[in-house]
Amino acid sequence: MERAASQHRDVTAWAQAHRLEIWRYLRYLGCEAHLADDLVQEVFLRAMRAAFADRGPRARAAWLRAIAGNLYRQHLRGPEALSLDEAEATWQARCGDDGGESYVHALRACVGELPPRLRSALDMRYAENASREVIGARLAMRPDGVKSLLRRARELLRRCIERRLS
Amino acid sequence: MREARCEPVDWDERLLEASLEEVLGGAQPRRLAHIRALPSPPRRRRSVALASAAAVVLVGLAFLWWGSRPSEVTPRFDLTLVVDRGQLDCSGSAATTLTAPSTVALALARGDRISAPIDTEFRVGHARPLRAVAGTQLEILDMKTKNSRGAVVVGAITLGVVAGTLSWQLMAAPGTATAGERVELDLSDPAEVAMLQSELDRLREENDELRQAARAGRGAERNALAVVEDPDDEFTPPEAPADPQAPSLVFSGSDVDDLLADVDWEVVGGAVADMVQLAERGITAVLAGGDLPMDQLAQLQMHNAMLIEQLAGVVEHNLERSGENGAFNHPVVAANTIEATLAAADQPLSSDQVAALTKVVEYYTALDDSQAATDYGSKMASILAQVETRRQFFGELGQLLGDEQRAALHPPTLEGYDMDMFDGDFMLRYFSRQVFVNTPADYAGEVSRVLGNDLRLEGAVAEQVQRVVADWSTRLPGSVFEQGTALEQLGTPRLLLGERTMETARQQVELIKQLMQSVPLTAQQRDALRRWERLLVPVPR
Repeated sequence: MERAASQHRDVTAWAQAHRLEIWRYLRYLGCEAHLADDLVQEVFLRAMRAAFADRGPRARAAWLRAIAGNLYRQHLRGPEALSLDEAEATWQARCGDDGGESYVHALRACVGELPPRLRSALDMRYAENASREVIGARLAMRPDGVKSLLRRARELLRRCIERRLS
Repeated sequence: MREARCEPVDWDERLLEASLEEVLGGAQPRRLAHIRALPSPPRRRRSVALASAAAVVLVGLAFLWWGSRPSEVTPRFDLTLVVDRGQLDCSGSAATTLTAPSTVALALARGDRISAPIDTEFRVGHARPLRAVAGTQLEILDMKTKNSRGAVVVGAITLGVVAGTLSWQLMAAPGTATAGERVELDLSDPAEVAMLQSELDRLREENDELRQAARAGRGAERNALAVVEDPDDEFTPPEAPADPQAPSLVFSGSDVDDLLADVDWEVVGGAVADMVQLAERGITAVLAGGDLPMDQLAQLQMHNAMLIEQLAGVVEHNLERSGENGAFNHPVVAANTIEATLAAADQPLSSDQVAALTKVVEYYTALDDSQAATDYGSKMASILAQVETRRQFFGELGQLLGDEQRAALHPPTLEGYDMDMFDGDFMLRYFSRQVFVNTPADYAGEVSRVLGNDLRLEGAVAEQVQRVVADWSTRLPGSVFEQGTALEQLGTPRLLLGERTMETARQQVELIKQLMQSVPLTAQQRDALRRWERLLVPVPR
């Protein structure tokens, strides 16, 4: 009983420490927000029931990500459709140190550096979920132009983030 | 749902996409329900698949546990309680004490009680701030759910005041509820309300526009058919008026698109087509031993002024980075200019050519943008990188054109010179000037003199710079010091071979690096050298 209580306290603390990272990781795998919310709950429920020798936050985060990845893969019902190894490798390289905090921080800064037109297009796309047609109408561009505009904005952001993180 | 695909996934792109949705789209995880072992009755975990299939998700709050006998279980919803001052004691299913300042999500249900042992200010979700006097006790009487974006959320909560007094400030009017009274709190997210309000406003505007269009249509019908008894029956929706915002660019996708929205491309195309012809005739006359005819020169200047007037916005936008000419051969500007010029010259682009050019323009526009965001260490290096890119751009673009189309754009006599608008070298004209010299030492002297003036060099530092420049000049490649061609020797109009100009630019970039590394310049001098943009091109006599 005491062990169960102790384990429960641990998982509660883990949830506070890793909730955001696991949610981000699931979103990164392609999981929709509401499903990610459910799966995050599930991850910590499983963690609570599992026996895990805690070797520190990094190993713990990797373990929790593995649970999350497997849950999402089960949800997709197509294990071959999702290469968790590749996903994990990229995540480790970009976000492994702090659960994506630095990456998101860099992204915020880089978005702020974008030329106004690119920033507007991104805002419309992500904040308003506007279609290319709507964005194009507002920016006096064709939908194809919007597509390339957004692609260019993302390319600039990738380079900027890389520069900041390096 | 963004399904996983069998094709290779670009995980970096996925990461960026998800992060953009978080940063710009406001996607955030909802707070976790309590990870805690509840007392009996035994629980049944909700399966993920079932939850998905049922599409019942609680936003902001989770609804994790069901009792074994659902009919006997009161559903609980997480509600965020923010205690700004004082203390709240919660009893019931979520027994806890909250002391200010704190923000906690609690799984609450009807019948749960919240009391304030001391004067307390708090908020429930997004509802207005509440103030409870010491000894106030509240009971949750009702929780109304609503469907929002496919999810079930708590839209409102009704609190009964069991004891004490609850007060609030709503706009200018204060409100109070005492024992026996009920308070209904709207928990709607202001951001969501604002979004819905915005959508409502937009729909109203559209509605108004449609009404106006309908009225205009009816008016037109009445004027044309005065005998129609019931105009509404005969009403035919008028054709939509031309959209003033309709895209006018054949090639777009750059950050200067909006600056090109008002450009009259017919004027641009006509002017450039004429300039190509005028330049060809003028240079031919000069090469034949004559002078550049004054009337042709005047026409050239007039067309040039028309171009600058049409593209003034882009010129100003690009001036700092690319100079005046750089604005004209920016990929999007140049592609639209070429399209208009070829149309004016009766050599229009085919739809296949437009499609192929679009890809080329997109690629080089992206490259240009990424270069704009890159620190090359000096202005000259940045200019050089742009010119190299634009040379490649025009090279690829030229391969997609037919012979006659190319001839309509490039005056044959100017081939290889920096006066061809549709060549990368053209950009360098804004920065370059020819230096007529006999020897590398002459050239080094002129470069040192200009540097000394621009960087305000004096004394030992000036001498050190002269030594570095002199040494540098002896190592310049032979192509830079080849005898100037007849056109280059003219002086006016100023014509330089593109290759000579490019090579000189490359060498000057190296010189700037050497000076940065080897001469103890002051901070101001280093800054001036970093921004130095004079391209001194030697033309040996």
